[in-house]
Amino acid sequence: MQNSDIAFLLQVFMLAWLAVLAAVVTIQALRGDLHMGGMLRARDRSRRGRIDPERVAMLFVTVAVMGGYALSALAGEPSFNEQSGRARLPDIPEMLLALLAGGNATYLAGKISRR
Amino acid sequence: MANSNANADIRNMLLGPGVLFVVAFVAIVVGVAYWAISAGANATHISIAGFTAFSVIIVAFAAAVLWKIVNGEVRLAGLISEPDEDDETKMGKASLSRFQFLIFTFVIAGLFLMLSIETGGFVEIPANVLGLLGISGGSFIVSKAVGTKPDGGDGANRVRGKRVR
Repeated sequence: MQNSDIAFLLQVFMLAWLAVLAAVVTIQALRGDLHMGGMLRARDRSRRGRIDPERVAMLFVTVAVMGGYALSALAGEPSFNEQSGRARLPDIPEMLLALLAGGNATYLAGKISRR
Repeated sequence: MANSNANADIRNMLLGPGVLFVVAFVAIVVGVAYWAISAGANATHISIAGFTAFSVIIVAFAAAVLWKIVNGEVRLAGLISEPDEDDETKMGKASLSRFQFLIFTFVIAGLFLMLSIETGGFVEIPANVLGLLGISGGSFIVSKAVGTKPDGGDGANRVRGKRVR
């Protein structure tokens, strides 16, 4: 056995660990053990109970960006850095980055304007 | 009086179980090293043994954390929640910024590990992926700064978790 074999086993273990942790968080969220109440609602008492549209938009943008990026990374072949020759995570398309920046800016603008 | 207490503390520290553990640990390490050298181990073998021991410690630590989470000893209920403004002992509303950061962390860490396994080495993280994490983290900080009231940000005006008005 060599160090590279141990490193491979460690990577597999860490991936399995991350997957189990994500599964535990998801299960707890579905069971209601993870507190998720009020995520789409404003904090101030005068508007409590009303859903903010910019929060809904940001939630959709988050899911769309991460879903799109994960799908593009898993569907394509791994890319390599031409200079170092090492593999690298795929670049995020500019459109998704702009979408995310816009979604977050809208969310912050809504939050500041309602202050 | 204080001097004698300090001496007693030092004596307890020197004769306590912690020191015995350290001495036993060092003795075991020296014994194993002596046995390995006398058995003809070279630098590669020692490197593999050290890396294995290091990996076992990381795996054991990660497994212990996961076990405590599954067991309920480490509660995740407030993972994406902000503390309540009026009573810090209560859980406040969930934070969309924290949720976004959690999702990004899971996806990017998962992809990083998967591609590392596929290609057989650590993969590089492009600048725009770090930029994405930066946008998310920056939004969280700005959101937190905007949402914090001037008198309650540092907890200076709180008594037993209650905000002083």
